Amino acid sequence: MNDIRFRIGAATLLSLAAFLSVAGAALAFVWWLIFTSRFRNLPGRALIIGSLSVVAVVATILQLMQGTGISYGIRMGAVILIAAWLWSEYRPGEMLDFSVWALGQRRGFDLGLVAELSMQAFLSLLADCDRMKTAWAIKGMSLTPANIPAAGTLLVRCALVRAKDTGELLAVRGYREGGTICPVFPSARSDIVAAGAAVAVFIAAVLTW
Amino acid sequence: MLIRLESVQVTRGPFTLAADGSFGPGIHLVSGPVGSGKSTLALIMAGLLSPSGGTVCREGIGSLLLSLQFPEYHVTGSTLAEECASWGLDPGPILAAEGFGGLDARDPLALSRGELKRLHLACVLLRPCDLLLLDEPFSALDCRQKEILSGRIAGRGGITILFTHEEEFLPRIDQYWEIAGGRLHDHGAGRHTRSGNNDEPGRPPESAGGPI
Repeated sequence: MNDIRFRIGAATLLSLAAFLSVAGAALAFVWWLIFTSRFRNLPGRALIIGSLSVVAVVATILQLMQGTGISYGIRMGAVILIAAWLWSEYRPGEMLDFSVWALGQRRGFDLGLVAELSMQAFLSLLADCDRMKTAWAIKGMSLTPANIPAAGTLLVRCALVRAKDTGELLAVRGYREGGTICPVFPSARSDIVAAGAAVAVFIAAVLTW
Repeated sequence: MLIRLESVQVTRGPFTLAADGSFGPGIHLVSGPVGSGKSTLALIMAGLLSPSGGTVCREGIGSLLLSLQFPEYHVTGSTLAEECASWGLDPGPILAAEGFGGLDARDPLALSRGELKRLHLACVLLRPCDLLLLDEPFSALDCRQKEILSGRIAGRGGITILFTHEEEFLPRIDQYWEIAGGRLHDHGAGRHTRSGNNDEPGRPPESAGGPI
């Protein structure tokens, strides 16, 4: 999807559909199979697989204890896949565009800026992890429970330094609140088809709830 | 002792890099604009990143070491002493030589970027290795430290490859390379810079480790 407005709308409806019922989750999964590039071009693939693994473990425990694990696993699995798709399609600046379009140049700009900075911080964190793994490989080290505090400290320290730099940059440029931006949303016929299908999935989930 | 790039290709979205060439004993300089792929090439030559195509052949190289641009990522110890020890080195003499005597228990991340870079490079250069890859080794260092580093690099044997923008403070370079237009170019012993100055091939340094 090119237009972030359709993308966020579709992701919201599909997540709600998946959360409502197993049938909704199954339909959301079908939508994901048809309208996304699935696992291609997915940043942080290990994170997605890790999240799905945690859901699988929790689902297994719930199934053994209460018999509701399969339902939980299917619904949460679908929600994670939709979230992964939304993340993989993100392009820098889109959150600011969307927020200003939705909430205006003042509050929308501020919220959009926070969202952009958060996304950038998260992507930087993933890059930090990759660089740390490389540096540790150079020393012939690997991640062990004993190393985790040092790794965590470094990640937090790097994130704080970047946040401080960004804050100073904004202050130097005179940022106080709000801003001016003219959002532009590239759109395509395929966006409308995919968004329409997401609406249909949501309606079906509500009807079968 | 040789590292040879044979039709090495890297493709990542719009970014592409093609590299062919042989790096023998001596000091090599690889330059190129920001984002041209210097760090990527360093990782590939260190065997830490697989190219999309082609091969990297190492002949007679028993050990190699890569220094990343940002020294923070190398930190694994919670004190300066632990950090030196993590490189398999005796912390005492290194810390004393680098001006950190008596600061064994200090947090490495509490150092400035320049101080940490200096300590990191001291550890790296004390580790014997056949192939040393230094990614932006001069960044965050002042002129005096750049001179000292140049002297240390000039004093080591084996193959040393500098991936850097630095043009003023360099040891005597045996071979110049440049990444431009998505390809690694071999400029031989003659210097090729965008500014076009300082281009005397094989010119000896004015002083060991001094600016050339």
